[in-house]
Amino acid sequence: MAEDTSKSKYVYLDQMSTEELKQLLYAAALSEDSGEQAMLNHILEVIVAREEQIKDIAPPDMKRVREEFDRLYRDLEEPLYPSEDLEDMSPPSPLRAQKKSLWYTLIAAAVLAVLIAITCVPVLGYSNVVHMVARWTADQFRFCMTGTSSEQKTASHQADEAQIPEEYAELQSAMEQFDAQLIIPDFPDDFKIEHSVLHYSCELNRVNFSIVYQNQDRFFIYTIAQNSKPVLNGYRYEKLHFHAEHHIYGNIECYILPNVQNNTVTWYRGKTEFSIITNMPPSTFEDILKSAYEV
Amino acid sequence: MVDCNWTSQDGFFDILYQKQFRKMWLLAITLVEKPELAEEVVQDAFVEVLIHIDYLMTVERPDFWLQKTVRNKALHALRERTRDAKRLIELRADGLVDDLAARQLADVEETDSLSHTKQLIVETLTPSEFHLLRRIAMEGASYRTVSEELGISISACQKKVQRIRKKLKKQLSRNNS
Repeated sequence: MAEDTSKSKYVYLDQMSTEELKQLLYAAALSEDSGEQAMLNHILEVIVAREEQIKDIAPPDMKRVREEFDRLYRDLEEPLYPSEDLEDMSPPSPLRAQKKSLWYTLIAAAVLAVLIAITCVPVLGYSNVVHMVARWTADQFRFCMTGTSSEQKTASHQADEAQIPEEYAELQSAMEQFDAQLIIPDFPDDFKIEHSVLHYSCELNRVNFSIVYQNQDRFFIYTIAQNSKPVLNGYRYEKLHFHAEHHIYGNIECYILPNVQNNTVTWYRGKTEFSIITNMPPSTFEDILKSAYEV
Repeated sequence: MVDCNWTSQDGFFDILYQKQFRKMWLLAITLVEKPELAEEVVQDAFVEVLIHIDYLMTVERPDFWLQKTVRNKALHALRERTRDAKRLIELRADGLVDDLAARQLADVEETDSLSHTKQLIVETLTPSEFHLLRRIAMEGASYRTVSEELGISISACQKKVQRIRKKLKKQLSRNNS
């Protein structure tokens, strides 16, 4: 049992004085090492069992705090203090669900997903497709250039001319100029296109496109960033987990990045970075990506 | 480990709360040092438990999740208050700020040393706004305590403080540019 192992592993802590344990507690609390959790838990249990006071302050009365929780805190609209690095990726329970306007959601998604602009680095004699690899820290993710490689053909469902929604028409023209492939995944039928934005720079040889699919307060934001010149770093995405979830759908590698109220999937093909941000569960990404890349 | 003798969300929550609150409070007070703030951080962590209860009922060690949440919230509370305090200190001039917050600004005689500070505070924060932020940032009061003093809900207090922080940040960045 996990608990028994923990107890035997930290039994030496039981021999320490409370003062020594308090010092250890402080250090362990500040540590970002998730392995310290078990030790931290053991220290807390020892101190509670000894009924020692911390800093000569009596612990709160349980009856009082529980009554106050039910009266003052239970129905808060949102937590008072944010907590990064939450492990739960499930959507909030209906008790806590909140309505947000589309524009507030767009702004929040934009802030989450885009922290820096793509930088262009001119490379003389550039002929191969830049090879981008995923890099991430505890709370951010991005694609970074590592070198060049031959472009691999991607089997994908190319958009049929007759079926291209008008919102994508201009994007298609822009991408054709750079000999890039326009991919239009299938989003759920009950989501309708609400808004699209296209930024196209001939001077910088860059195309940035975002389109919003919405159903009431649920949304998908599909973003395409295409650069004809190689870039050092792609968009920077905020996320919660230390690990980015790596998946292969169809024949593309993608990364799912959970965050507080949104989930992002991102992938890189050739010279183009794609992402989809949504407040739906990450499981919705599979069908969407397979619709684009499974042949 | 949470006792598995629960059959409902309420039962799960009650057991987790009863068994973990005191431990989490010990953890919180180690970091934030102020008892009422530590208590509020832990209460807030249990608000998160309610939000994520479906997930937590499936994991082996929800107490570890709670531990991490309390730690993060305590550190966030500390960072936020430190930042507020620094911003308030930026408004200081010759140690006059506290006096100005306590009195009616109209009663203060104009002097060269006061006029700039007074103008900045008037443009930035009203006396009541300054008082509220000072209670939170300098004195480490919890939202709950301050909301009781003001006769408003904790949510309303939180929103007030958020607005004040936004206002202050905007004004200070304007001054610094």
